Amino acid sequence: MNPSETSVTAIDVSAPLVLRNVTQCFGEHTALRNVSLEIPAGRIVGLLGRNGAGKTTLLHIASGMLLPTEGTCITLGASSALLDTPQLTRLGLVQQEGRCLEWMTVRQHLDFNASFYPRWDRDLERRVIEALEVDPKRKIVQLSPGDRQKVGILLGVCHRPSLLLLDEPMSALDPIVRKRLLDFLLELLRDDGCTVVISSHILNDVEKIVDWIVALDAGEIVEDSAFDVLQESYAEWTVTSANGALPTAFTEPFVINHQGDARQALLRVRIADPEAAARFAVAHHAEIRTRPLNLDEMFPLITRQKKKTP
Amino acid sequence: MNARAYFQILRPGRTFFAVVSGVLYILVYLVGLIRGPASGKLLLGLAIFGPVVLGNLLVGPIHEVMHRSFFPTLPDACQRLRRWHLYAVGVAAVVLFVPTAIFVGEIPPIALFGLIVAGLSLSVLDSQRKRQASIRVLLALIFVGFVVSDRVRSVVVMACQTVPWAFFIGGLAFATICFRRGFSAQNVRDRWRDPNFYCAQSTLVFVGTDIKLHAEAEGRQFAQRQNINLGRDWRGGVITDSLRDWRRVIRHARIGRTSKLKHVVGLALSGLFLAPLCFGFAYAMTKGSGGTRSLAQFCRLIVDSGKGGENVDWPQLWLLFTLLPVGACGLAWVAGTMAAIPVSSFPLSRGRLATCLFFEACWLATLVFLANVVATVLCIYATSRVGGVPFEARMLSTPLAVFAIQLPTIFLWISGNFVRGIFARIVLGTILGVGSLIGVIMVQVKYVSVVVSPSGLLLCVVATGLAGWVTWRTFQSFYRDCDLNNSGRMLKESGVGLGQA
Repeated sequence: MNPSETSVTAIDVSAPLVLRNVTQCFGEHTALRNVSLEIPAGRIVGLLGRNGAGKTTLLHIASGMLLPTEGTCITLGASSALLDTPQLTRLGLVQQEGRCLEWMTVRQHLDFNASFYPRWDRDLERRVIEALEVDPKRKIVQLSPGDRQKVGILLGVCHRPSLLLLDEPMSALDPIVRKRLLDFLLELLRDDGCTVVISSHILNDVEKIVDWIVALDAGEIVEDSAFDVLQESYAEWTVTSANGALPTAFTEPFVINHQGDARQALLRVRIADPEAAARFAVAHHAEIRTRPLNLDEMFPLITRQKKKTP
Repeated sequence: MNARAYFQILRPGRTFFAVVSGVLYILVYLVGLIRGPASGKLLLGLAIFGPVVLGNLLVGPIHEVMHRSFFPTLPDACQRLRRWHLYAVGVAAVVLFVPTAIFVGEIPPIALFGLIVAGLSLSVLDSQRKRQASIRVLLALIFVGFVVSDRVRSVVVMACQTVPWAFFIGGLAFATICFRRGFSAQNVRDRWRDPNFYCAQSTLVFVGTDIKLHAEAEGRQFAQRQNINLGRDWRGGVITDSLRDWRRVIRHARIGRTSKLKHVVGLALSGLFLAPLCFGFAYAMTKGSGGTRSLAQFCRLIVDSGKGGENVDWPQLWLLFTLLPVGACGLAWVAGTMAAIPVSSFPLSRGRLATCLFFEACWLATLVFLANVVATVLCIYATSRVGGVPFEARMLSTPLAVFAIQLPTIFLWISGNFVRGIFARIVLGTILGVGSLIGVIMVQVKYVSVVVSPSGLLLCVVATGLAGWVTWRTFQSFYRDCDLNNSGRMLKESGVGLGQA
């Protein structure tokens, strides 16, 4: 029996997506290594990671398109290997390079997909077509990569899924359409309580909507925290020494990155204790100015933790 | 999924067109090549080939959908498609069964139905290319069996008469297995990862070239993603400014690290493939038309034809020395055209690029053509041995004459690809094709001695030189202002899927 078809007892099946000790190997390459994750309903999760970190593989496993080599994945209460109509009608997947039937027009493709979903929302479809500026009369093959991505989004969301998996949905979209898409995702969350897992490298956009961050690095989860907590813990300190005697390296474990000289240093830190800055200032006879980091700035600090240099 | 959605993907008009094309294709084979009584041909056509071809056309659009990445997450899609395809197979089985039961009276209807259902279902398994290959091999074996001997047909007929219910039950059981495996969850997971799949309805003439271009571009990207070792590392040392070095670079970009040995083997195979095929085809035509002479007699007549003699008994032999040079010309044209399209950008001026590509195209086309000439000479030699006639140079008169007059045509055909305007290309291609065909036939009928004379050969050399010059000018003109990122586009617009976009 496939590991993913084993009993799902002892797993909270009420959560839309649960992964337990999932490992995925492609030949000798391990794309995911012992990944465990639980995403509660109504959450918007940002799935971050560098290229090849395993984000797409994780989303493929979650959608049942790929079976894990080891471990269990429960999607919408069922093993991802056994996803059937009740689960698939509530699952939406937008792929980075999704392939459609190229000879169809956008309208034909929407009608074709709609015939499989009892809850296909024509009104929503019309609104998304307008928001994303898609011409339904054009053939898929004639569309630009950005327009094809919009069609992928249309096909993934118009049935009002409970769990929406977005794999780089914005990589080919212009900033205006990206903003509309984000607004739409927030609307979907507000109206339907949809759970969204979004993988993207456009972090400035992602941080506007996510409330949870899962970061993958070399197939392993290196971060699984609320976005607010991350924002509070990561910071940039500008340390100015009163006596010009800052050390060349700081030994404090919360200092992740530092540059500067004996008089002034720029530190990137991860702190759990709000008093740490005051203690640090006293210890180094320095003045500290603190600035919170945005997700774009946090990303290298999160993902550098385990990434091995090739 | 409703009926509208099913017919939307099936595209009944295109399917009908494809079915008619398939029927004509089968008829040509049956009438032209297969020996034996009409009932045998009908059995083969209606109960074996017909169902397989029809099943393939019916399941193709479904497989195409299954090979797209949106498919695995469509709810209940696999079951619904299976149900609709089952209906389609049922209707097709009845449609095929009625004429088969009427015309193939020697086999019990129940066994015929089993055969038809099995044939219609076979292609359900046919999605990945390796499986397609296995089905083609299977069909080829059946075909060869029928061509080579009536015994295969006799065995099939006798078995059907003896155990008709076994064929019926076996056919249904086979169909059940095909449907279960073809629409299994595992199969769905396997298919979407190979999205470069297009059915006949998406690739025939009624689909614009944009699908074809898209398919090729996606295919290349897919191959790169699959980390296929294309052997593109350059290990040829320092590149100087010489034309020869840049030709090496362009060739390397096209064929990667393929060694010279592999290249030579490939060229030899192109020759070995065509010449024996044409000889075999001529023999099959002769036998098919009711000839009763032995292989040795057939060979002696070929040898006579090679000398320029007339064949009153078996006039079909003119076809051999028409097919050979025209086929060789076609292969050389394909090879030359492939070499004339750059597969990537090179730091060369447009003029130098055109010159490099011209020489590369000429080199490859000439090699392929020569490989075919050599293969033909070897076939003539073998024929003389089988016919028991001592080999002499005069036997090569006709083949050499027809090959010689094709040389200029190759270059003109290649240059014809680079003429601007699709209409001009089609007209030019048609004129060259018909002209070369008429030329080959006329030479065979009357002018063999004229062409193989020193003045005739000199004329051929001059004509070839002129054609080469025209080609060179056309290349220079084309590459002066073409879109170098998509220089193969005009070929695809003409329906020639060669080169790289």
